[in-house]
Amino acid sequence: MFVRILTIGLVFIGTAFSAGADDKLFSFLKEHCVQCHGPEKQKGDIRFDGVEKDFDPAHDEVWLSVIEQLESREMPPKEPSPTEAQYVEIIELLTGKVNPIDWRANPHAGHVTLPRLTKIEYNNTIRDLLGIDMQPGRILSLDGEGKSGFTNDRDNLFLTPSEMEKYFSAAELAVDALQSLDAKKAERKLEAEEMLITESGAVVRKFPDGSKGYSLSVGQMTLYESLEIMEHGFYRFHIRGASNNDGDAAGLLRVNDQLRAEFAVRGKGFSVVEQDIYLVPGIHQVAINTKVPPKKRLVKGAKKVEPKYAPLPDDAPDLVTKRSELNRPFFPTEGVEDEALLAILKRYNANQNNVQRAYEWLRLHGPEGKTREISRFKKYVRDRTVPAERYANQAAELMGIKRVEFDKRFEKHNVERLANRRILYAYREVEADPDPGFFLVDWMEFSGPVMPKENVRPELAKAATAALNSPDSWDSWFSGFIDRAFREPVLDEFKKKYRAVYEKGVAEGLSHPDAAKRTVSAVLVSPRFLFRSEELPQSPDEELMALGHFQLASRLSYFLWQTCPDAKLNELAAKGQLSDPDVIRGEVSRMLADPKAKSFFETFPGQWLGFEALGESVLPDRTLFPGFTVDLAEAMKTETRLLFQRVFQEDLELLDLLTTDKTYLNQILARHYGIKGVTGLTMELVALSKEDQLRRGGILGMGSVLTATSTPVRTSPVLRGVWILERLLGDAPGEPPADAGELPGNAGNRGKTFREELAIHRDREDCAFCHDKIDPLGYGLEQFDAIGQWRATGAKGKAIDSTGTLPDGTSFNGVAELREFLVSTRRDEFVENLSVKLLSFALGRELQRYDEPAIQDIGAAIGKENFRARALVEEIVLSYPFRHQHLAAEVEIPVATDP
Amino acid sequence: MSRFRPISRRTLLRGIGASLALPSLDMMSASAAGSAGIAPKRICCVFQPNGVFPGAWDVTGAGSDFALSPILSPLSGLKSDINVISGLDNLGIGHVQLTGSFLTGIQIKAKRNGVSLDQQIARINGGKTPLPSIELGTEPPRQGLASGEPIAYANTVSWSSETTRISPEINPQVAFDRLFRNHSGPEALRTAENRRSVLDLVLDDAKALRRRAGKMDQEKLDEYLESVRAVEKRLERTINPPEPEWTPTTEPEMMNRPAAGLPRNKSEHLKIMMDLMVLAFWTDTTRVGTLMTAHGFSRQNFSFLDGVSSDHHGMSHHKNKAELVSEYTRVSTWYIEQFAYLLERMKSIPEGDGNILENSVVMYGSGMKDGNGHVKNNLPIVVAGQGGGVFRTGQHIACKKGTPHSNLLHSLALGMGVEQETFNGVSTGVVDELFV
Repeated sequence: MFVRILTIGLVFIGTAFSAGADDKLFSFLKEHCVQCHGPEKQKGDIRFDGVEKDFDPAHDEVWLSVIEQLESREMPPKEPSPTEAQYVEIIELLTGKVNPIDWRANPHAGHVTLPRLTKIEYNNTIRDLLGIDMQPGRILSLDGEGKSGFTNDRDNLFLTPSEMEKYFSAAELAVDALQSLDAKKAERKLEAEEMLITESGAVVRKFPDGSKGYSLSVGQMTLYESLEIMEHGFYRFHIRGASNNDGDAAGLLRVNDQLRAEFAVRGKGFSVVEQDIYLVPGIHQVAINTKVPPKKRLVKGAKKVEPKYAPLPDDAPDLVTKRSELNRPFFPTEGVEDEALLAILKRYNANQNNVQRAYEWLRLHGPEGKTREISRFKKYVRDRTVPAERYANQAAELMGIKRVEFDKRFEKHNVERLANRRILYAYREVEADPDPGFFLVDWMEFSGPVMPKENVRPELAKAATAALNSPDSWDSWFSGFIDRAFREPVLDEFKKKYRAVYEKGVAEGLSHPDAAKRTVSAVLVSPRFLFRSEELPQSPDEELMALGHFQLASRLSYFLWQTCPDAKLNELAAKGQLSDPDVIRGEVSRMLADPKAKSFFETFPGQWLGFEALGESVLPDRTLFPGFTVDLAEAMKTETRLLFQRVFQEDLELLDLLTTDKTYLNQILARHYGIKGVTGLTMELVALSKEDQLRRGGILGMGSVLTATSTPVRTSPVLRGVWILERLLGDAPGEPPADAGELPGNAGNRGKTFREELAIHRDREDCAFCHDKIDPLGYGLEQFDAIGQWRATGAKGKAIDSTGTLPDGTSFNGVAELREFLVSTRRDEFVENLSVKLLSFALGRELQRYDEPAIQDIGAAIGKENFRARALVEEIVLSYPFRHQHLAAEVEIPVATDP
Repeated sequence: MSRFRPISRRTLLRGIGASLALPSLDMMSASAAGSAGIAPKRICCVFQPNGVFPGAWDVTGAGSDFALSPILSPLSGLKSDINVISGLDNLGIGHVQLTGSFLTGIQIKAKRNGVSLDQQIARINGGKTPLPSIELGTEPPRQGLASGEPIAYANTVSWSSETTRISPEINPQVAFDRLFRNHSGPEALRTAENRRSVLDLVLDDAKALRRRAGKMDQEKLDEYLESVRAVEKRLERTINPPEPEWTPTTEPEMMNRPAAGLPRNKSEHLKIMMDLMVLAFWTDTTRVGTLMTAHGFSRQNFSFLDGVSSDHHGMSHHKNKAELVSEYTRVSTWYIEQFAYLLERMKSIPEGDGNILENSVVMYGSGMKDGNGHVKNNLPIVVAGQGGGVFRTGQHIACKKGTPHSNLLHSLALGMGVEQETFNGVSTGVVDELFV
């Protein structure tokens, strides 16, 4: 007897059932199903009445279908509808009964659909085959996300006629680029003052070092030239530039209106920066302008931007007076009998009040207040502190103590008040970093085609060029090339077929380069290249296969590098050593440390956590958040990716992803977070202060996920709650009903707080069932606004309420407590979910029930290893599903039948 | 020369019933061919995502005596060239399925759909032009799942087989090149010959792999085989271009090759894609086109319109709140304004003794009625153009409640010369009132 496996995602279901479970099912059937599937009607020839008598759903197709119908909520179609809770309960109950297969006793490897290379894999593979990173696959369509949530889900990788045409074009492009490396070099130097400048009023500047050029001081001001390119290939652009101030500046180079390079310089001194750019023959429009400094960015087309500086309240002076009284620190005078001392202390305290007034003005202006005002009141603070110094010295002398001791006592009495002052005084330091400047250009030159400098293996590229351009090394090169392209040693008779393309071309009168181009193109559009052939069963009857060594090498390589195996992996495969766990562990460590792993760190975190589209198709409203720029989005995404990279490369604990005390920032992101002391546009590892760690340590406090889980106009506790459940803990709450509705952009701004508006839907029982779990988690992140900035107040100045209480009574207030709650009580779910996602990514398929033992084994193994990140990767590549392939896609599993 | 009038299919279908196989009539197929100086018939299907607010879309009156609704008001100058069709029901649930079924009439199940209207027509008609069809859009594919289906499916309404989606081209320059550059000239010829020289080899290779592969993997290899064969056909056409069947009666105004990259401005982007579509018809580069005005699950932010502050999908779940309904309707009206531009442009180009719109049929609509609740019944549909004299226009056709949407698809296919018993096995007849 056979049962079909439920093709639903991996869900862990308890095996214990209460005695009354069956009765629950029966009464559900009676209430919701029997009307149409009973004595009166037997729709679909199914009836449920009388099912109690011999209820044995274990291997019955009908019950599988019932589960599917309930899951899609298609049944029952009529009132009364079951509640959400009932749906979930009955589905769980039936699933446990219908599908009680012991997957440990009947191990099942699952089937990975014949993997077509993804766009990323295609580009990387071409790079490593031919030695140059020319990204010929940039013309390919983007791969959508499959059911696994990743773009490498092999079920979801399609091939269409127009895509096939693009593969031909990409292959030709790659060959052209190599062949042209032998072509005559072209060179041209352009003085900025001779190029076209778009702003009519712009004047040629004479720079301090005597050179001449333009300062691109307006965002749209563009230096322009058209260049004619004769040969395919990389061209080396040099630009001599500088910033107009002490900060960083960058020039953006566009070719035919597409951003192709960023030339970053620091400070006023001129330097020459270079960049290799791939160009195709033709006439190109080359344009340079300044990368607009983030602070001064004005958004085109934005409606009127609210003035950045809120006007001070009318009663500001009164407020300052009142608050100074309240907030000033003072030296206690109780019990002081010495009149001279008392007089000095009173003067000292009065002076503190005076100093405090300046602080209170600072508070009113706020950290984002006018720089001029902040400077002014900070100067007051310094000026007014002068008398206090004098009084303090006098008082200490009268008290017969050291000045240090006096200060200690003063501080002891005023811990909070002084801490508060420090925060206020720090306001200006945020502004103290040099602003990014404008890009000054002296000249630009380009030459090429050249061998590019980055991401290149010159020996590989040179060998390919030589073979493509002259027949001398062609035979031997092609033989190795086709092995590498097809990722396994190719039989000679098979190679002959491909060589025949070359021979036929030459016979037809083609030159060697043209015939070679045809032949290499043939390899690059072959199904053996575009698809990663994973199954070569010995006989058609074979059902399970342990992957061969070359196939394992490919799986490893496409998992951690997203490219073809390198020489070392191929060598290990050829020697048959990839079955040795120690060898595998060594390879994992080597591969994670290799620069090629960058592709993994750029792909996996973004797709797992869902922030990949940020700054591209996901953009906050430009009117409400004018400060949100593409550069900020890029910095946000990079921060998260680099954290992953550090955790995996340095083999830290997986939980460091949630709790790290160091993060990666550049000036743009640090300013966004309100963290001081970070300059420059390069992302640097920064140790977080205690306070910043509570806010920003780990992915819960990162701009990337906080923005990606907001709507364009406001935060969404629902989206954030769902994100925590689904992406972090692997507990997807399911789709909302279609009539669920969405709160409008101005929700929370219409008399009720957002929380009150959202609470309304939780009155509906079928909403509350999920939202009682979802919303509290999202509320915990309410201290961050829709672009991940820390905030004290919400709409109309109301204080932020970031408390959440889960159905089990657990409550927390704010991100720090939410994080602590997740780390201390949800660690296993987090780690297990990460294992599920990473295995799913490694395989390129959604996990199924039969993968459960693998996940349990991985969990147990890494638990013994203190949840080290590298241990997780090791266990994944050693796991059963990673090393096996079930050959039939439609899975049928034998189960024991009753005697 | 007097204009040839084809026999109305409606006459034939009456009383025969949809289950009978219809004999192929030479006179009918002549109408599709565009021979003997008769302008070819074109079809363009325009998809708009996220539905409309019914109260602002529904028209009053029936037959030729009807009044346009607020959303449709931009079409007032074209009233005699359009039919507003109501009462058609779609199949499926949610954005993904209701987009997938827009031109197939059936629900995506287990990753399978049917062949879409445009591709059915391209199959019989496509060989007559340099490109069998063109699919244009404005939004990149999106990620994730909705109701368990990959949102990527909602990227298109064109399906060339049960499992093969055709992604619309959103880059104006690439679309321009595909239409007007890639299939002619000595460079194109050389490339075509190079490519043709390797086809047999890679096809053989794929067949060899297929023999050893399991069923699921065979499907993947079938996609490959089908794609390579389609490439082969296109190459053949480049190397041995067929004699053009139709010479435009007015000199097409060639547009400049659009700049690389995507226009930032949504109106501008859509306009350029529409101009490309019209030029493709004008030059007889293709006779079949689809246009995704946006992704089927579009979250396009429309704050560039006055009085609109949110994204299209968000506002479509309006829960009957006045402010959201008003934004939703403003956006729907904007879409119809763009559609009106397309029709006016087609109408402005004389062709034979008519114009391009008269020789075309342009279907506009959404796969759902009200986005709030993903209502799949009574779809919002406009069918414009006379399809070369096949279709009657200027009416509100109120179909009987519960009429399958596929009946309209069946009718349009028929008008374009595709004969079949039922449309993807689900239509129950044709929309009689459409036919002359």
